[in-house]
Amino acid sequence: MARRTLVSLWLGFALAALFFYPLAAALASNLYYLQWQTADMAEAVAAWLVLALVFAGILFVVWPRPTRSAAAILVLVAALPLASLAAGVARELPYDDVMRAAWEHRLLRLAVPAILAAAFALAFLLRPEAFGRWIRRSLVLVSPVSLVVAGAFVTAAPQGSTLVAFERAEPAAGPGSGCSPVLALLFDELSFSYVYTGGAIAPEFPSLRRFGASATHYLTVSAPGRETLSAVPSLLAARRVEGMRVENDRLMEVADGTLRPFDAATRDGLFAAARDRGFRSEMGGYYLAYCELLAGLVDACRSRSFYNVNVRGDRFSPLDPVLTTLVLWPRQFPFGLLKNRAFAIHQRDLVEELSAFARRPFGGGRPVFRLVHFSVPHLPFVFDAGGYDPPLNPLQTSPDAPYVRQLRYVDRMIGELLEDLRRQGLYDDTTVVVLADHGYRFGGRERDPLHIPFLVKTAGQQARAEIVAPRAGEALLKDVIAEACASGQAIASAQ
Amino acid sequence: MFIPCLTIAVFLLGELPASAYVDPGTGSLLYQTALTVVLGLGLVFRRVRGSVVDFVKRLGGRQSSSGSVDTQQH
Repeated sequence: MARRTLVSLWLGFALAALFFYPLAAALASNLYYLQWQTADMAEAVAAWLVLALVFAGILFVVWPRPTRSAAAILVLVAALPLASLAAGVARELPYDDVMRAAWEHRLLRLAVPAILAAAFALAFLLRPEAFGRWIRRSLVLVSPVSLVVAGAFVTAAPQGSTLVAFERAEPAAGPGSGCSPVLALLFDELSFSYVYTGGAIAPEFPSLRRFGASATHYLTVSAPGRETLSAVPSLLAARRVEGMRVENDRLMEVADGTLRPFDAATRDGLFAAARDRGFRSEMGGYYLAYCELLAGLVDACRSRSFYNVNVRGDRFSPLDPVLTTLVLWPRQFPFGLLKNRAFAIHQRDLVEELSAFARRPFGGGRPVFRLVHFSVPHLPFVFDAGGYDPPLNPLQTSPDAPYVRQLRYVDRMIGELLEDLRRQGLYDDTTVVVLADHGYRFGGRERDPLHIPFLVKTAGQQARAEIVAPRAGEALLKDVIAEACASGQAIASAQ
Repeated sequence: MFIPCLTIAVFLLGELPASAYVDPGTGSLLYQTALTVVLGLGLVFRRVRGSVVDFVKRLGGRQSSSGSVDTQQH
């Protein structure tokens, strides 16, 4: 009995560990992107314990039984952890791009799982005892991998929490700069080619059209980078960043062929400029660890990981690491069947939380400069004009219909955010910017993903204007801050 | 001795520097995983050893002296 208990506990522990293999791999090599918290670790350990006990209980009952039903239960119990191990290993292989390309072939994608399923079914039906025996051996074979998973968790534990949120109290008497508040809405992968038709905003985006009727359209703005990883740091530093890499849990800049730590807190940077002009600065966004990057420069911050799921906000939830593990699975069939749902929920939560950040009251002290980096219309494509409505495959990039549907939701979101400002009586006196980090990178109607939309409504602006002179997005956003002070002071003197 | 040696090897040799032909961040757990699977092979081999011995003996035309250990309970 003691041996049976020990074997069940070990294999239960191992199966739970195998399920978390993708998370362990991310903790070992991509900790930066997870924006990992001590609370996340506690949730993961709790989830691991619960799963281990459940698996151990089932194994205790079925392990010694040489019956066909016991073998079937073993397969069912082991399927998810083994699939998760396979998913994690597949992502770690150095030639996973080749595998991904090969897996795009429908024949291979369907034939391999079908052959495996058929082989399992035949073995199960024709040689049930041998089948059960080899299932048990296979579980014993992979069970030591749990030591690797445990090792990755133990190694990540002392690294502490990434700073993901803070709020500094407003001083009793601000400097009073006379600048108008600035709300910059940065939409990830918002494409100029899709938003504009013949120099005007397409009719399918009514909120943007309404906003654009009294805004300045910068029609030739170059993206600050080819991808978010370099584009957003370019915006923060207000200069073109050549390239970015994440090395040893730090954001590193490629400059003159060498790597150096990226510093967004320079005097020439966006938020330093905002602070110099007397703004209270606020940053909310996903993907990069903004609060770490801008800790000394912003007064309020919220950053979220694109991979680390947090379904119940700051409340303790062992479900979070389970969903995070699924998000870390490959998108390809059959892994996508479970990943897609978890990723869709995460996308919905990201948008809700960042929208709430964008809607925060401005407060009565210094004028606010607030930059919000939204995770839409970037995939996963889970929204349409009606709201959250994820399709079966929210990661489908071609054809581009899901992207277009999510663009309509972005239009609706912009309308709601601006309506909120109007209700508060703040719209007219606020500078509102709508911009993108880069365009749609998957073809479709996109003509140039480095050509981004950039609309600015300054305080008091009533008429539409167009500027066709080429501008660089990262420099233009910084200029908007100066313009906000000029227009704010003009309004103040007119009053 | 085989299993303790492998266990020590897993922990001492698991941390490998990223080589030029492997992207940094790719496969950091892969080497350790592969090593632990070898450890698992050792565990499985202990259980099937009797079967293998029987098989070899049968090949040599000798009678098996014991039943297969495959059916033993874990």
